[in-house]
Amino acid sequence: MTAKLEFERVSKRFGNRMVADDISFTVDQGEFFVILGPSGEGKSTLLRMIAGIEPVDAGTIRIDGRDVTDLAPHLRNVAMVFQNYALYPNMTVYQNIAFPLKMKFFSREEIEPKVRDVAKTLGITEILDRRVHQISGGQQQRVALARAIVRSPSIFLLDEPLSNLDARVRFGARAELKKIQRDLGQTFLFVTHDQKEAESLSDRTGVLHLGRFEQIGAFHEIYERPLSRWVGDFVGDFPMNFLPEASGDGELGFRTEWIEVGDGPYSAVVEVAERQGDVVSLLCRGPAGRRVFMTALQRPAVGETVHFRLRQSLHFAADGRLMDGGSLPSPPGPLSRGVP
Amino acid sequence: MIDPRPPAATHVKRRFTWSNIGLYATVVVLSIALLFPIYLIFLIAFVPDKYTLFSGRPPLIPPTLTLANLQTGLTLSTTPFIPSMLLSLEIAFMVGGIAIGLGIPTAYGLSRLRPTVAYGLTTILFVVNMLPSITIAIPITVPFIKAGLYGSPIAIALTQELLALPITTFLLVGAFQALPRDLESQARVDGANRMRALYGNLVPLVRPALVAAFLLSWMLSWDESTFALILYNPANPTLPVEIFLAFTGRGNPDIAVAFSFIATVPVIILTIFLQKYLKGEDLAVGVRG
Repeated sequence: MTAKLEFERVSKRFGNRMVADDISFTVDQGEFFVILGPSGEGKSTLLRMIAGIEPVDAGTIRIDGRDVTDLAPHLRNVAMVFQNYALYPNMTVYQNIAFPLKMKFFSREEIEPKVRDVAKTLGITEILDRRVHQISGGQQQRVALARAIVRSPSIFLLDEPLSNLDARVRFGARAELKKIQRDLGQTFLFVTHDQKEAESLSDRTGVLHLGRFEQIGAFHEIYERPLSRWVGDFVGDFPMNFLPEASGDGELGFRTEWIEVGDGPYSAVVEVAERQGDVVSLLCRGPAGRRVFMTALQRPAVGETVHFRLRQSLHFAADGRLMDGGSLPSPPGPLSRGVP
Repeated sequence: MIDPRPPAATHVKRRFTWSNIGLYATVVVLSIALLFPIYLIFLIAFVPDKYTLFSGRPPLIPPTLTLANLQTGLTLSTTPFIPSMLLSLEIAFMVGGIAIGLGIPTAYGLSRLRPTVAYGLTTILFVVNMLPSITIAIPITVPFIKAGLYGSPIAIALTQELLALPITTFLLVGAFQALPRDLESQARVDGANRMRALYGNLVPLVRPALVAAFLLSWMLSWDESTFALILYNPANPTLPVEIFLAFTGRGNPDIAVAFSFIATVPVIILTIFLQKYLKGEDLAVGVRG
């Protein structure tokens, strides 16, 4: 089976900054692929290169096995939802959704049922006659999505479409987006800096850093087994905690959930304690002055020393690469006694 | 939620206060200063010339009004004002049209360059405007004669374009630059080629700037007399040239003034007609972030 989307050694440079450094990856038919990375890492540029808005410096991009690297955007049959929705301000909602069909020379009679159908799916039938400045942000997001769906493109590109929504509506929009993708059975490429979105939406996530995918895989896999120190640090509500290895070579990485507070070979001093719902989040100063994020049920006093053990941990080499598959209770090192 | 609409204009009723009196006084003085010359033209145009041009002390209040000056101008064979006015109208609309037609692609291209480069190039366009028209008019006449364009309306329109195009381009570059880039990208992803995206999606959004550019180049042409004087066809000069000739050579100053008063009428009509398109409320919406 040919891949839906294929990047073959694609490079792109802005000035002296590599936004794509020899990237190769594939996305399968029907897959929800999330490109995750901090702001300004060139995630959007990647989408723009697929759409054809941004030229590629080197390499090949294929959609459905067809080389589209030098094809004009309007010939690629991809749909894109921009971060700011880019609704046509001089048109009504209906005209916005109908626009891609009009460009394909569908007749008025063919367009009407398609637009109404999509509008119904997204619950925006009542606002079809409105101007885009008369509708709310959430509605604008739906209109942008409707405009993408209406034309049955071969691939959907979404550039942080949820980031402009209120936190209140974002959760609903996220769930709805996932449902739409499942129902359509279409391939979605979704760019975000929000790992919550990657976690809940993606079949696979690619973590982009310095123009390369540091890791591609299922989100939980990336979370549990980051292939590099950078990924461990970037992914997660709490960044991964790192302590120097006992041998002095490389580091020990562990998630906050892998910590058992109460007793154990390690100790740390509480610096900040913050109640978040049922649990208390702690920022502590651990061995060798490293910061350690923990959670506890009781709120300890600031300055108090807590002892903890690790249920599991990962070993990272000095260059930041993951060394092994992790280990169960890691042996306490001599450093653990060096409480600051 | 942020309302993307521009704030609605609120009409606050201002109560009269003594502290505002300076403000009102300034407005009144300025208005009089600006309107007085027009009033003088009105006087010369519609008052018999024995009270105005041939009187040592022209009155400020018209003793009597007359249409005689206008009538003489319209009937006298030596003052073909009506054909001149029609020619001027023809040329002005040509200049406005060409300025828009060439200005759109030029400005679009410039707006897609880096702003510093775009400003540099736009400034170069203005070099022609910095020189006195006469220095350009003379060298330009020769190729026009060779091309057989001398004395034709299109020749005058094309030379006036030298002055109109930089201004139109400047206005439109700003308007295109103000549009979100994503709108064009979106249109192209949605299936529009570059031309369709430009003329179908972007141009409607810069309509206020287009109207302003058209009005400016139209009026520039309507007033322009240097190129029109050098390239004119003696049998049928443009209105400014005709007024100039009537004033200087043919000794009908009161008729000339009457027609310069009439010459303001098309400008006023056009401005009123196009003014409703100058509102820019569509411009800043539809794009969030």
